[in-house]
Amino acid sequence: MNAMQKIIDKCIRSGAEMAEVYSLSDKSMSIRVRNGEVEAIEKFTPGGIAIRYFSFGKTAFAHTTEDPLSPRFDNVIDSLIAHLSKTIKSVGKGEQFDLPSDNNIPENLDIYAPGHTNVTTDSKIEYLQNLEQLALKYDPLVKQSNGMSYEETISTIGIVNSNGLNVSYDTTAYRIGINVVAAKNDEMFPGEGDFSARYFEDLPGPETMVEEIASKAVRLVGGTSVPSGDYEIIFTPDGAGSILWGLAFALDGQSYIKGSSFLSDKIGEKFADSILTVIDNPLMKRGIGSRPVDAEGTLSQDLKLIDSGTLKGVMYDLKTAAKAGAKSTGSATRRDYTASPSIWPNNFHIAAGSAKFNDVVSSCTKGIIVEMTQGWGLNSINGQYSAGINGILVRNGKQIKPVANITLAAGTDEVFKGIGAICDDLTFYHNFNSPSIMVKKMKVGA
Amino acid sequence: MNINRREFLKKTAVASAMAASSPWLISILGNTGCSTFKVKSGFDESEVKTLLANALTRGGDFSEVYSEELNSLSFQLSEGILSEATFGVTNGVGIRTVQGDKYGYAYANGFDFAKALEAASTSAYIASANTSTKVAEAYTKQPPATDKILIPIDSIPEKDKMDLIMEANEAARSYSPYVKQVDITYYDQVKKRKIANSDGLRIENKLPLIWVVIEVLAEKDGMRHLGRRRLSAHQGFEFFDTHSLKEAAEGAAKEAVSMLDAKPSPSGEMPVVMNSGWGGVLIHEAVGHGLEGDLVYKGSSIYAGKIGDKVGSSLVTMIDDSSWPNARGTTEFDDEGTPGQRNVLIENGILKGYMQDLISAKMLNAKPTGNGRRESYRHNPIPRMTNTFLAAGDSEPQAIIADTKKGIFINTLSGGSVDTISGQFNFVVREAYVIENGQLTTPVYGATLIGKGIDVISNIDAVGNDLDLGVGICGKDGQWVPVTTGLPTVRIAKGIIVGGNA
Repeated sequence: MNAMQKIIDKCIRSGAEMAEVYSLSDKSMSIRVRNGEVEAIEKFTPGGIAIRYFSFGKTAFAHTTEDPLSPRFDNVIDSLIAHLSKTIKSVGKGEQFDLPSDNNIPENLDIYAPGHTNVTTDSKIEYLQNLEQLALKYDPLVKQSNGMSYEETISTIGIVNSNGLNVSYDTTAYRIGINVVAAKNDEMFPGEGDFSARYFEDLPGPETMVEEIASKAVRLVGGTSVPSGDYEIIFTPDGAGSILWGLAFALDGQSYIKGSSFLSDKIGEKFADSILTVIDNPLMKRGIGSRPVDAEGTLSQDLKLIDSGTLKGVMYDLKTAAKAGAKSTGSATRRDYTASPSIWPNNFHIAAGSAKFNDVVSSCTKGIIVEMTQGWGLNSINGQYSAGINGILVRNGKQIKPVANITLAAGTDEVFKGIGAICDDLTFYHNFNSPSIMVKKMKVGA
Repeated sequence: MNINRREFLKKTAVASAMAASSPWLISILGNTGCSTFKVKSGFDESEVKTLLANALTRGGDFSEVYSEELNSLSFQLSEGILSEATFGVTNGVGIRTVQGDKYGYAYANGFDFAKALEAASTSAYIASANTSTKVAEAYTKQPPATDKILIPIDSIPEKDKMDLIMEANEAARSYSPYVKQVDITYYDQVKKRKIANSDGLRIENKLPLIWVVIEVLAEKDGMRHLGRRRLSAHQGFEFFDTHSLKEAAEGAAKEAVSMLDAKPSPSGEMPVVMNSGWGGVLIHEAVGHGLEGDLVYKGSSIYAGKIGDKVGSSLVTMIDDSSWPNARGTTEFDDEGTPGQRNVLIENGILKGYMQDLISAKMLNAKPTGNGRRESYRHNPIPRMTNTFLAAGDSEPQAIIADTKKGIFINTLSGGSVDTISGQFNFVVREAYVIENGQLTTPVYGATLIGKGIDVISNIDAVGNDLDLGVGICGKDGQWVPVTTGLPTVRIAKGIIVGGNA
């Protein structure tokens, strides 16, 4: 019997109704190069286990970094369990639910590709040095590198519970970060971004990454204000993040049933233009957020949360689903083993449309291309949009100048019913992705 | 001698682990019997020396072994139910090799010597010097006793903590029929740090930290607002004698309910009066990050090379003080072992200095200021703020509002961020009121504040006499550390743009 199964048995023997053990073991390495030299090398082996102890609607949780091979492991676990069984008596009673038991997890997600971790550290360093050279040569306005970074992580996740669930899966993740500064007439502007993939080979080529990040700094440096008023707004994929984050919080089933989401009570309602479809699909092949099961062992599902402007459903974990009288959507996520599960999407995205970005810009008479936002953007509680922005002023289809020091605001309907176009430029290098989106009218403050 | 010293250290280690025992940790030790169950707490001196030397096998200026033991307890209250209790036992070691401004860093969970040795070899990889650095003889430094702890937080039965939470929940719920939800997170921890470096420094301490977040959601006719109060200190359970959870819950409820009648915020540039306390996040973001030494020496701060220059209004004196007794940002000594101190960053508008860790101090030819902080043993230290505030002035807060013809009064901010390269900052406003003819009138929602830090401190034209600290969490380079930010009531005459939808 393995160590995790032993813990389950000990929990049940101490009086638990059900028990669950989640284990995480990571091997991670990162390198940062700045000005041609290695600035930092870091190597991590985080790992730990988390125990959930259930007693008829009551839950207690414990986590430890203790290694199952360590001589004091059994002592620490025994004592934690003794304490869990005692404390659970004073915890309040919540909804009762059953833990999953289906061990037939999908195995074709293609999310484990450790090949590149065997490449020598020196050649990874060389890769970053070349990337930095490309970035610095991209444009005369790129004056400084704040570092290029490489990160690789191999993870093994295991979930065992008292209902017979015993699953585990391996993943890899590679991430490249680019950080440069453009300068013009005493003004500086950052070009910062990263790309992640399960396979190193799936990352864009160095030229493509540099083009995307450095060109942004070059375009936006030296931005100035524009007169206040209503403008057509074209969010780039980065800019649209300010809507996507608010949507993720609003589609959290817990906020939904507590009434703290602007979408509360709106399932079945068409609150957005038909052009908008929002998906969380953890079963996407090679997806950076893909996983066969969620953090409680529930099988992953492809979720169409907003379909053609209509709210179809929200995300649930086991506890929230029980409260809502629904089924878990496989949306339980843990930040790491120290956190009990909470609801969060994985490959969350706005579905691509068919519009071409350049066509949307050329048919815009008075607008702003929003490339960066500061602040919350869409507030998930009241549905209002408010942010500071950097972008490009558009007049009669022409890109005129960079803009800065302005704010952008709109009500829920102006944003969602006012979506005029969704572009075809969706990519999947992050957990949250969006194509470019045009909103017909938002208020600019200056 | 050596053996005696090792024995001594081992005994001390067990004794201090016992002293750290919460009721639940006592149960861990008690279960197994203290006589047979030896808790390995960090490494003994000969192990430490080996690790330090191993981290310098390829050269380097300096190596460091940082050990941490953290026991935590938290409760989550939601929908009137204290639904979850969490216990955490975390310990591990982070090893760093520094050469110039470059570093190698690796960590291992637990105190397994073989694993730590592997981490030391990894961290050594960064260095490529032919020079060899020797590990100096150890000397022990007594940490300054900044924080006074009367009732150890881990000596209090969990039931007493739960009762406080339930009482706060009741208070918020009975405040108004419009209160729909109350969420309370209670967290406490005891963290023990041990730092050893190749210069010979050995320093350790153990500090408790309390952190409570109360969120109250009110709803009326489709309008929703989430009010929030947070309390925190490096203090024992006596903290709750002077900080009432019940009053904080009522405060959050009051905010949530009063904002139900809010109108959309006006937009444009206008005078901003910022309430004292957590409004200090304005100073933290707009100015503070730009004064962190790493950003300065890397040329990523607009404040680089400006020591002695006038950067703000003469009413502006800004201080970072990691020695403020018991405050949430207080460290006693930073995570590299430098003692906490009061650093005047800006005095009467003149830039006096930056916040430094060991590397940035070396790169800028300055002294370390006790600002080298890390989230945990899993992170390398970098320059961070601690308790950062604007010194009090002499205006009455009411007089500042009365003297403002038209503008906006910001009672609470949710938080904000800054880009130190462009100097642009933003803040999300939670509770604000329009000022008309010196009076607070309509509550307004949906405001975002933006501007450039240097414009803010240049345009502060009134500073109140009511300095207060607010508690929060600050993120930088993916690391989160506890901080306070403080402000007396201030007025920023121009330079801030309010973004609203009116």
